[in-house]
Amino acid sequence: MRKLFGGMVMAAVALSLPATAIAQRRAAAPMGGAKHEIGVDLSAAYVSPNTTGVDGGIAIITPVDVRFGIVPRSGKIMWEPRFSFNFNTVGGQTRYALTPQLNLLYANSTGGHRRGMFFAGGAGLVLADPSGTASGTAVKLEAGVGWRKPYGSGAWRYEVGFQWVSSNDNLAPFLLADYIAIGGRIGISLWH
Amino acid sequence: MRKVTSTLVAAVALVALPHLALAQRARSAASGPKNEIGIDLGAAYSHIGSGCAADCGGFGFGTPVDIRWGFLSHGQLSFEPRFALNYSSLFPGHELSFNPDLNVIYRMKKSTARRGMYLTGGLGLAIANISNGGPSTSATQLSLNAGVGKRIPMESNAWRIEGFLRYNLENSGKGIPSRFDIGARLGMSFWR
Repeated sequence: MRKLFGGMVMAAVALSLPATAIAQRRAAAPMGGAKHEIGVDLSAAYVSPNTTGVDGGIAIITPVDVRFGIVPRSGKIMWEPRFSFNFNTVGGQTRYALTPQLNLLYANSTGGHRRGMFFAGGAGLVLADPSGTASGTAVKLEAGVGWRKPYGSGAWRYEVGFQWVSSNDNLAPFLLADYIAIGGRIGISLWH
Repeated sequence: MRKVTSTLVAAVALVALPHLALAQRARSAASGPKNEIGIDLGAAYSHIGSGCAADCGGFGFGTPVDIRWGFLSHGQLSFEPRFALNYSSLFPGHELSFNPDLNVIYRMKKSTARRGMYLTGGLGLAIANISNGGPSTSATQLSLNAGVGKRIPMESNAWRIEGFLRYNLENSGKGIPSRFDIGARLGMSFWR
């Protein structure tokens, strides 16, 4: 009988060990967590250019840019660099557009940086030579409010806000500068 | 004694239950991800074919190229739609550029859906629609592509590098010449 009890206790310990280990790993996962939030968006906005004789209108673009958020270990503030880059020398002319930007996200919910509401604001540059003959630089400022909604291991991310881009004579004809845009972005965020 | 024995059996059963449940969930998680989502940086040498007399070659690179949204399968073949969209109704007219593409991915023998080499081939369209205030003009170009790539696991995600050839067929009715691209794309894949 003692042998039987001893065997059963051993069996109980053996069975409970893997479950305990998995429970520990599950507890550690959200603490150690992901370091980056990477995402792409579809953007739709009403754009109002300041150029004389040009009316406002709708612009829809996907993919807009690459988001590479740096998830903090704690705290409500998160930095999110964004960028897009396009360069080509086709046809004997070199054209490029580089749009680096840095946004700050403030998590306004208990879900932290994984779910719920957040406020966002940021600044960036538009460095471009869209015609192949004249380059220019413009400053970009934006602010908005957004939400993350968990979806599998990732999350849908919705954001509405406005964007202002300073004037530049070489960039304005290509709608890269001198406009105000009001609209939203819908995208997917994934963590690693 | 019988009470002690039955209590021990019950304890063993209780301890075993969560373990079995976790094992079941782990198995369902293994068959879990349905989609491979990714974004890339692309670089290519392009050569314009029909109708080009001078400056027919060029180099371009940029990010984000398009959005990859792959559907995972149990077999060696899987499908991967890719797309990019750009629409603006500014000025008196509008501009639309839509590039849908459907690729088939064939995993090499020792590869899995998450790592290893693969072959890919696909068919796409380059659809453009432009209006300067008057009637709009549409043009569609058919494109074929083929490539070989490799997924390299990185934590729960993967780097993906792919070399490709792409041929855009001539649209003589709209005066769009054929084009040949040879290049590579490097990006990240996420599963959900």
